[in-house]
Amino acid sequence: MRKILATVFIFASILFSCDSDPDVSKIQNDTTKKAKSGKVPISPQVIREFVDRIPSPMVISSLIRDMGVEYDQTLLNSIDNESKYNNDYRWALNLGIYSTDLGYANIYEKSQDAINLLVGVKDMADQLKIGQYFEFEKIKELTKSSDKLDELLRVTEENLQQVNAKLQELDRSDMTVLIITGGWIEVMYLACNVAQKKSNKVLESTIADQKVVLDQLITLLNYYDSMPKMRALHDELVELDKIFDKVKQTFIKGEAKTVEKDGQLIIQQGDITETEMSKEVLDEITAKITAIRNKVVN
Amino acid sequence: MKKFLFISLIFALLPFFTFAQKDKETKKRAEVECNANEHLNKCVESLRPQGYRFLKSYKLEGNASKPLEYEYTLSKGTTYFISLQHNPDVKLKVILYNEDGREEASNYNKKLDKYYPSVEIRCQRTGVYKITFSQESKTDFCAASVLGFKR
Repeated sequence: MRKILATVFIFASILFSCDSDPDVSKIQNDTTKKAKSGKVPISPQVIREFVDRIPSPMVISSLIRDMGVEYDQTLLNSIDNESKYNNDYRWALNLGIYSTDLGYANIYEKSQDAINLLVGVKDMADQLKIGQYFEFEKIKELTKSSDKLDELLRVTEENLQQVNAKLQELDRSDMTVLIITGGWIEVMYLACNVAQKKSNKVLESTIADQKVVLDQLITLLNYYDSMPKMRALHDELVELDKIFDKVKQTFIKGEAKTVEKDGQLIIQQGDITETEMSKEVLDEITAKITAIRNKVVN
Repeated sequence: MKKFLFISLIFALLPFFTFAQKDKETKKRAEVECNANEHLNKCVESLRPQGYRFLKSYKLEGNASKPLEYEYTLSKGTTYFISLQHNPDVKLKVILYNEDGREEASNYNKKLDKYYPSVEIRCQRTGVYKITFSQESKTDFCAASVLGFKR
């Protein structure tokens, strides 16, 4: 009898200990987690900070549309290419690429193309076993309504945060890095190809300024230099960075101006960077980014 | 004996159920007290009428004893908009610092000692900026902010 009673109490105690502090086991799990063989350990906090600061490709896609440039479907990665992708590295990079294309199609309100690209995003995510973190049906519905772009962007952002959290939990932060790198490569490919067709100083300056993002991606990829594919991609981006070094930048220091207009606070930044990029350098950047992108999608 | 065993079992498990219920109630109360999602929705809604497009969201929750810090790469030639939503009795301050650590923008006007619900920044220098959120009272954060943009 005593044995039975003791068993009952032990059982109850175990239940308590399981429920009392779920965070403890999570923290223990996180801190004891080591990078898999061949990977450099990288703090989830560092990854999160890097990922957080990478700008959304939507800023450049919006600029392209605002320039009055027509939508160009031929620039996008074809869904037919999907069958060529057969490993995590390519699925992750192309998840980033299809995501950028999806944003581009959405900005131009090309809902049918957006839905096709969404299939690409879904398939890549499913292959990476993170498909469950994307609310595809919700995104699909939002894609159909042109006035719900902000909500669509917000849902996508939330989904990506969940995906990144899950990938880190699975010790696959390399996939997160590849997804954002793929997204950036694609928007650079779009911007450079548009700039080749329609000369525009603002777009060219925006392309030249992408060195800031490129440097961050190179730093991130460098954490994974023991992984051959990541190393190769890193080296390609370093070559691209060397071309960017030919861009001239002048920094002019200034004082910010603050005004209140219609109850709204407006701040005009004082510091200015002026960028000078020759056509030859733009051509070199275009050629290099196209080569990198084509290796990824073909 | 069976009765005794049954009673013992109930007594043994009772605190667990009470604890679980209490935990549920605490979580529910926290949700009622702080609904950052609701603040976030309002922030998102504030973008479109002013011609901005959504970029990034920040749910501001938890301990407010020190500022919450984030970083984001801003692009030259782009106008950014930081919208804030919080409970009415809170003075929430957002400060944008450039790469050199210099304060570039804030929703707080020192001269007027006035807090604005949003701030527009016309960026002229591409770089990684730090965005910090802080509040005067040290009660927990319960707010949201959205970064929007327009060309």
